Amino acid sequence: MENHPEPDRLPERLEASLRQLGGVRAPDELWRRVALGISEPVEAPAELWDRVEPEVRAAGRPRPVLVFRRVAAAAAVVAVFALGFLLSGRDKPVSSQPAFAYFERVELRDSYLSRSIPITVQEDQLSPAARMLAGSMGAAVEGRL
Amino acid sequence: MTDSDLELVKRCQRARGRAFEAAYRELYDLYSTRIFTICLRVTGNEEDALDAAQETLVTLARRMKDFAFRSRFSSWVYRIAVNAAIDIRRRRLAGQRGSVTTVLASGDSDPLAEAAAKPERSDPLTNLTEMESAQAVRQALASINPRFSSLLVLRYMEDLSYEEIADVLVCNLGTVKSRLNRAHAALREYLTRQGEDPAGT
Repeated sequence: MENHPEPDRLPERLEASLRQLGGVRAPDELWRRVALGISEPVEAPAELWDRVEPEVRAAGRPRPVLVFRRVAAAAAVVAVFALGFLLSGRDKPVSSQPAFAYFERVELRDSYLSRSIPITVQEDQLSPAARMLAGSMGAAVEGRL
Repeated sequence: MTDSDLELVKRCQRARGRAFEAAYRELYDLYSTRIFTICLRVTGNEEDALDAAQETLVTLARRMKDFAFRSRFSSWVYRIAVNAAIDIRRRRLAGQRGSVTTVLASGDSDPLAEAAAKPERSDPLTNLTEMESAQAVRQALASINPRFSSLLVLRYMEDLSYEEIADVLVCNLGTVKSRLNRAHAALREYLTRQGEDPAGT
């Protein structure tokens, strides 16, 4: 084993002062901090799931059901208004409602057609919506009135 | 460390949950004062000492199973504490230097300046002188290189032998002695610079 020289000694009083500084008791707060740091996660009791499950089930219900209900309610309101609108116009004279009279009375439709300017277009020049509208107005589509 | 202490370490290694907490509390009671003393003297203030001691004790708990009984358990504990304290001291070093300068430069109310200005004291003032001396040494430990202050704490406050210090710092005996020489010199130089007589005469 190597023989290392001893370190210089400190002055006696300085050494005594150093020794007197030892042994400081840790404040109680230290254990509280350490206990928090070392505590393992505690497993939840089974009862916890029993308590939580009803809420989880309620929260997990599919939302589209609610959306469908709203859509259905809105559609019902629209249908009621539309029906009411149609029924309110039934007793009025046809002449005051030319658009509806056109669909209901063939002689009126022929009269309107005689006053219109016929334009021939290819079917593929019209959009499906335009084709449907033209058909409903009496246009000849693929040889059919 | 006694056989019962070693048994306590083994119990901590085996235990789980509440049993671990109970066993670790016993270990805490054995070591908390030593750990806190090191942390307090190296960091120089209670707040940082608490942080360093907490870090030490939590690290110790988490790594308890890694201890293989190849060295002294106390050396392992001291090593973790010294490293934690030095680490925190380094993190706070800039701010701490400022506060030390402020305390030491505060003029008439500074007990160190008063002590330097009064070379002779009568007997009734002996206790006051000791208090001032202790304050100066505390201040010195918190101001010199933390590696030196931790070495001084291990040697003079924890009363470890050179061999035990070598075990803590994982270095050879020659290194411990030469570092201790440098630590002595740093302490004396600091006290002299602050107007204290390192010999206490």
